[in-house]
Amino acid sequence: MIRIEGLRERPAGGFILQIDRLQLKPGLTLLVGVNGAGKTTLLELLATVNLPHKGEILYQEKSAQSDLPLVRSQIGYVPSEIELYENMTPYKLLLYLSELKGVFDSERTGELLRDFRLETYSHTKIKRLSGGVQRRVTLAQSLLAAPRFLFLDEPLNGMDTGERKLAIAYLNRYAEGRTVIAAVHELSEWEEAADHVLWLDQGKVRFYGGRTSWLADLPCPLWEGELTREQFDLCPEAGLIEFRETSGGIYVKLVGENPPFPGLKACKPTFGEAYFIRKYQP
Amino acid sequence: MEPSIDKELERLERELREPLRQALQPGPTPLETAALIEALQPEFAALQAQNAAASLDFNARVEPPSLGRLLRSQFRMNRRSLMMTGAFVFIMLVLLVDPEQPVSNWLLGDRMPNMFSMITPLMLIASMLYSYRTWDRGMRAIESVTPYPPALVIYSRMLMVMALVVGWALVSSFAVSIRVASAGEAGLPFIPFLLEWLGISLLTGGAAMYALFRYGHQAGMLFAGGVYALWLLLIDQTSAISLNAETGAGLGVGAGIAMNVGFLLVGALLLFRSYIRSRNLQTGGAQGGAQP
Repeated sequence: MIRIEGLRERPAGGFILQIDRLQLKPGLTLLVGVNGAGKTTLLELLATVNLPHKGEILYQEKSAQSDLPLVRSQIGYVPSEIELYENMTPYKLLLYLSELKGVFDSERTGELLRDFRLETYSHTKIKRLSGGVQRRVTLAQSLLAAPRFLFLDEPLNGMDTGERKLAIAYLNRYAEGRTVIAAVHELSEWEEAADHVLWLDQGKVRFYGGRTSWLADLPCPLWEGELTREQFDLCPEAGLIEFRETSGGIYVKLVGENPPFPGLKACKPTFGEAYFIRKYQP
Repeated sequence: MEPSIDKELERLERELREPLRQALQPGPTPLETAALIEALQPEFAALQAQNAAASLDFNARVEPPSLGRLLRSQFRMNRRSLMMTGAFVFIMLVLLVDPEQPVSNWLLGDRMPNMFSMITPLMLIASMLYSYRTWDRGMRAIESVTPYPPALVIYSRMLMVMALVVGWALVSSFAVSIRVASAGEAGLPFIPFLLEWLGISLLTGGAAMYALFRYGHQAGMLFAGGVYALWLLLIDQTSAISLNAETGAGLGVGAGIAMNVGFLLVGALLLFRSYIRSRNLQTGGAQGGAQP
C-alpha cells in the first residue's frame, strides 16, 4: 500500500501535480492521462528519483524522506526514455546494476535473462540489439532486487506484439501481492492484467479505482452499428471511437448521450474505450 | 378499552419485561471492561503481528555496499574506454616532454608551468566532463534508485576517472624520468616534478567534486576551470619559484614544493569533504547535477 498525502509538485513543463490524498492498493495499476498530465512526474516521485518538495509519500507507512535506503531497497524503476550503455552486453549491464543495487546474486540475473527471453542476446552488445530487446533489458533491470514496488513509465515502448504480451503476462504475475504502477497509452492490451486504473488529468486525480468501476458508471453510453456513407458524414467527429468500411456501409463505434441515428445499439466498452468515454466532452 | 386489547397489551408487557429489563441494565463497570480487554489480548496481539508482517522491511536480497565495491564495478563497466583514454594520456605526456629540458615549457615559454603539469589537470577536467556528459538521464535515474547514497555512485565514478588519469600520469612520469636520464646530462628533479602536476591535478579535481555536490555539475566544471586559471596566473606571477631548470634552485624550489604540497593537501581535503557530502545527499542528480 502506498499513501500519498498533500502532494504538490511543479514539473519543468506541464501541469502542477496536485494530489491531496490517495491510497494506491497492491496489484497492477495502470496510470493513464494525456501527455503532460503529470504521469512521469508522479512516477519519478514514487520511484524516489526526485523527492517531493511538498507533501509526503508513504510506502507501507515508511516515508522516503526519513527511510530512504529502506524504501529504495524495495523499488524498481523503468524510465520512459533511456539510453542503456550501448557498449555493454545485457548480461554485463544487469550484473553491473545488480551490484549497484547491492544484489550480489548472479543467479537472479540469469533468471531474468530467461524470463525475458534475453539469453540469445545476453552476450551481444546493446547497440546491436533492437529497441524492443533493449526495452526488455530495461524492464529486467527493474526487477533485479525483486522489489515490492515497481514503477514503469511506458514499459512497452518499442516492443513488438509478442514482446508486449510477454511483458504484460510477466507483470501480471509479478503484481500479485506487490504494487506495480505502469504509465501506459494503450489500455486495451492491459485489460486482462490490470487491477486498478489511475487517471491523471491536468495534474489531478480524476479517477482511481478497480477495473470493474473503471468500466461501470461511465458518463455516457457507447453505441455501435452500421451507418450509410451519408449518415457517417453527419456523424459528430468528437465522439467517434472507431470506424471501418463494411460491405453494407460503415461500421462505427461512438460515444453520445443518445444514438445520433436509429439502428445503433448500446454496447459494452473495452478498457481503452472506457477511457475515451471518460475523457469525452460533447 | 376493549377487554381483548387489554389482554393483548398485558401479554405484550409480560413478553417484553425481560428484554426491556436487560436493555435497561447499567453499563459495564471498569473492572468488567478491564476483564474484557484482558480476554481480548490474544486477538490484539494476533492483529499486531499481522500488521507488523505487512510493514516494509529492508529488502533481504540487498547487501551493504562499499566505496571499494562501487569503484570496482564502475571500473569493470568502463574498463575498455578508460584503458584507451589512459594509454592516450600516457603516450601524449611522454612525448610532450622534451628530454633535454624536461621542466621547461617549449610551447608557451618559461613563465608557464611545464607541459606535463599544464596538460594533466586539463585532461582530468575533460575526462570528468566527458564521463558526466555521456551519462544518460534515464541511466542516471536508474543508477540513483539504489538503497545507497546515489551521489556516492557519481563520486565513485568521478574518483575512478581521477584515479585513472593520475595513475597514468604517474606511470608517464616514471617513463619521462627514464627518458630524461637516458638522454644525457640533464637530470629530472623527480619529486618536485611529481608534486607540481599532482598538486594542481588534485586541487582541480577536488574543487570540481566539491562544487559538484553542492551546486551541480556545471558549477563543478566551472569551479575546476577557475581554479586552473588562477593557478596559471599564480605561476605566471611567481615564475621565480616555478620549477625552471635555470632558476629553480634554493628558496625558489623549496617554496614551489611547499606550494604544491599545499595544493595537494587542499585537494585531498576537498575530495574527502566531497566523499562525506556524497554519502549524505539523497538524490542522485537526475536533473543534471547532484542536488542536496
